[in-house]
Amino acid sequence: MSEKEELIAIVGAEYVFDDPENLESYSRDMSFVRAMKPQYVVKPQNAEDVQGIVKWANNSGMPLIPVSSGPPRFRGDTIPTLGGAVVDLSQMKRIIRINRRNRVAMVEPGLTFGELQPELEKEGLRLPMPLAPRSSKSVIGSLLEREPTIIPKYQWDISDPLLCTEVVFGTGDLFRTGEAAGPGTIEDQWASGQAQTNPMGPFQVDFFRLIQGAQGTMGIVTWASVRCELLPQAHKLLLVPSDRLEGLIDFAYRLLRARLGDELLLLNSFNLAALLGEDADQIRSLREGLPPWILIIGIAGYERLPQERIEYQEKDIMDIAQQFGVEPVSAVPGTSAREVSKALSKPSGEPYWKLRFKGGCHDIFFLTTLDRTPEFIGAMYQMAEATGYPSTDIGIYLQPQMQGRACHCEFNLACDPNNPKEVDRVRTLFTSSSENLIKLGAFYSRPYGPWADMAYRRDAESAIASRKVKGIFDPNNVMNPGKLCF
Amino acid sequence: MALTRNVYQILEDIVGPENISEEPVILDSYAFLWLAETVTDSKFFTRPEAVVMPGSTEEVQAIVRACNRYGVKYKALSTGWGPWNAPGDEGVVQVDLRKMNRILEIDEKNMYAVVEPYVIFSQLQVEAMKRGLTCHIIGAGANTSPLASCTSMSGMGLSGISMSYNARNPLAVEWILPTGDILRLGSLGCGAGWFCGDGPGLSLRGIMRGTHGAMGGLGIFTKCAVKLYPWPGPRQMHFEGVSPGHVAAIPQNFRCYVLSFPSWDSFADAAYKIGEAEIGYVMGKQIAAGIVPLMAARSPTEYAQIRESGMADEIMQEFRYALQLILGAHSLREIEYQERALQEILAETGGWIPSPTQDPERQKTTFRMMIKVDGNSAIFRLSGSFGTSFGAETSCDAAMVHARLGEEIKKKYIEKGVIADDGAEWAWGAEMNEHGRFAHIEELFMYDPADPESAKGAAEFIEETSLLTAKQAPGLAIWELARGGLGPKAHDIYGPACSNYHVWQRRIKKAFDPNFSADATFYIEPEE
Repeated sequence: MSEKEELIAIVGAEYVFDDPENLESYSRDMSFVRAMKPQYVVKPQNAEDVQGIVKWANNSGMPLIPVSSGPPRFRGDTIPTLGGAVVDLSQMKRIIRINRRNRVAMVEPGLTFGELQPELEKEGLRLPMPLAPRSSKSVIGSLLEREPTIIPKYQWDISDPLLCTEVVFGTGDLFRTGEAAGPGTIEDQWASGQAQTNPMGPFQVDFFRLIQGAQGTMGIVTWASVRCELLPQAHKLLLVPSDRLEGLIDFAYRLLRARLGDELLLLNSFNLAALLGEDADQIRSLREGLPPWILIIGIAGYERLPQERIEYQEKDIMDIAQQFGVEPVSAVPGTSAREVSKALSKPSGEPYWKLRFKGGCHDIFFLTTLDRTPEFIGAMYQMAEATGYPSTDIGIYLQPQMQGRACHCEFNLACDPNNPKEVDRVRTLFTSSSENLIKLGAFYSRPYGPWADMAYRRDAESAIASRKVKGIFDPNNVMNPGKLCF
Repeated sequence: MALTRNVYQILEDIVGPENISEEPVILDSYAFLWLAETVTDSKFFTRPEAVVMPGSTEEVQAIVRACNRYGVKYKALSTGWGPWNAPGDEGVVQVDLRKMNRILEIDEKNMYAVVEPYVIFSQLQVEAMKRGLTCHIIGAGANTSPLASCTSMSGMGLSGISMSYNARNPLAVEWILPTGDILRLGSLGCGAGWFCGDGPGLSLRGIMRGTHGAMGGLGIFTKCAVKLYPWPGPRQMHFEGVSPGHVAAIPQNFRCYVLSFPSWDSFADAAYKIGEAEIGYVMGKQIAAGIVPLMAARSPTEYAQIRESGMADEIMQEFRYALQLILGAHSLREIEYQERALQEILAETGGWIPSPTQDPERQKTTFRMMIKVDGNSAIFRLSGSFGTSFGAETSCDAAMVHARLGEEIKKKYIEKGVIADDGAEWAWGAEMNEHGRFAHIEELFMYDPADPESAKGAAEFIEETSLLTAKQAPGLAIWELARGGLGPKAHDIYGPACSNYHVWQRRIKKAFDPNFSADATFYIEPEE
């Protein structure tokens, strides 16, 4: 049998693709990662299909590139490095269970935020989201990538809100992580009251941490349980404008310490404009009117005394604001809290907000601490100036993580993909600033594309240890070879 | 199997003659451990061949390298109690980390501290409170090591409702791998600081530990950044009275309650509701029915008299489904909100505040014990020792299953007369970690370590409950207890029922410790 026939035997002829158009669409994304076509695209329908595909890859030596989100993609992690078969999980979209009592949902990898949230709402729940994810973004894809969410108080550990998973390791073995591992079937566990809420273990290994952040190099997740939160019965958003980032940072630290607020993030004027504007002209116009920095604070009341909760939190926030010389308001020149709230509460409309200004966007992001962000921002402005990129066009997003212990620092470089000169300039800025930022102490915890080399060059022992892990779970290196340090 | 003179000399050269010993009397003190008799039929676990006390990362690394080179096994120890801290085999060097006892840094803004292995919770908490912070102290008490809890052991404690579980509380870590190489997890490895323990890429924290740690079976941890949590109380706690009867004043923005419920179901309903309302600061089931007369008794005889007289029966029943709860708030408005929410929850679930616990002095005692976690020695008073069982980190409903099963099984052992009669109820835990996201219930019991029949009964109780959690699906037992109860094949009993995890864990051990130099007794044996 040919390779294609073997794949067809596993998933059926209607789910195996090798036509040029399909292969081309998976060969590139919006990043600077070099394009390469896969030989096949295969769309499994269930875990059994996935297991068959991985076993086939081990026999045939064909690399597999798992993809769960739809286009446009941005990170290069789903571009084949050595060719192979793209495993597109977008058709595995089931919501297996929503459990209100334990605030948990179990979903398949093809499900997007836009598809999950309305179902959760029916049960009085919500899933904390990244900042206006694109409509095609897979929930599990986002969680496996450790994308930050906009409600830092719910992120106890950096792995949240990912809980248990079912995964097919690179060896082809099916495994359940966390308390889902057993004893008993998932149904047995439900019968005894368990709800797959503990991601740890079983026992002495956190298997889920070896899959998360691995860019598909360890295995393919076929479902995951995710930690949901109560849907607010009442919600209020406050905007805190400032000319100076430093003042907002001190205020944000104080709120995090007092556990005040739900949503808590900082945007510069460009990014808030990009989030709210519908096209380049509107974004430009909004940007001109907005204050340079805006701290966004959401206050929520849940099922228990919702209005009272909002009331005490708002008063406490106002008291603290006075001490810090800042003023939370419901509107700033150019927009209102209501508009911002709308933008934060659901996935991005079309086109994706980062693409509205110029049609393309390259993100540089890393982890640091909130107090160090002004230093990185200053350096980024200098580097932009050196390459002739207008610093006013740099979008900046600061997201406290793990209840304020770390901070996701993100620079968005809008770019017209049809303007080769501009693409070159942004590429130069992207490469040089990525290298300079790591020298300043940026931590590329999610090292996509060229960041992997930069990160592992500085941390050889992690590369060695990660390769040992790879040797255990994917000894034939069939899972997304060429990514990270593999 | 004594160490060869050559190896002893090499270890002595590393740490200096004052920091190494092979004197039997010293070595026996490392083998004399709580619960040892449930594992070995003796008050002693395995005696190490020698003990070394390194003072730095470099010395630890040199010890590990020497052990690898000369085929000697090692086992690290910080503050631990229990046989899992001692060697499990002959020929093992005990690496006692007590000299490494410094708090290296407290990052107040970003809420973490960097600690060495022998820093204890109490020490860290006092320093953290000066900065408006505190740490999650485990049930084992404030006398234990945050580094060990975060990297190597378990991590359950009553402040879990607002401060999580210690497997989820480490940030960056400095780790001497079993081969002697130094791995710095997360941001530390890239030279960016201590604020993150995961990445680049996949998280090697996954190898470091799971729900439970490797218990010395996968190298030695020398530094760890531990998350700190907000403390809205005074910068220094003030106590009145003499230990252990001392009390702490309850600040204006705190409340301290004992809440009783008519059944496990209403207990669970209340726990879920409190979690959802995000109002607990410390919460759990500390006071069980059986412990109530224990608090009044001055001796085992008196305890027995109180029980036999029946005078405690009513009050024991009142505390059968009892939760202790501390509310802590950052403002007076917030504490008012929390109180109102709690009153609603009590009304909905049929809960009440038992009258004896409304005494302000008693509340001060409870407050002190729950914030400082300093009252654990009382548990040894009645019978000389205690054991525990179950203890999965799971949903609150599943934890209630543990409580019910624990009572049922315990009755048999009480009837046999091999463990103390505590009314067949001593469920401990129910922390409702992270505002109710996962809970934990252990079934504690008291036994007499000086009585071989009682010790045997304790061992059988642990074995029976461990086997039950391997066969049914209420959630896994605490690993170190299961290993103690089921012996070296424990992973091979659980593994086939749990996705064959043991196969993968064994491969991890082989890949990271090719010479099997780190004592694997409480991690995983190299072969089935």
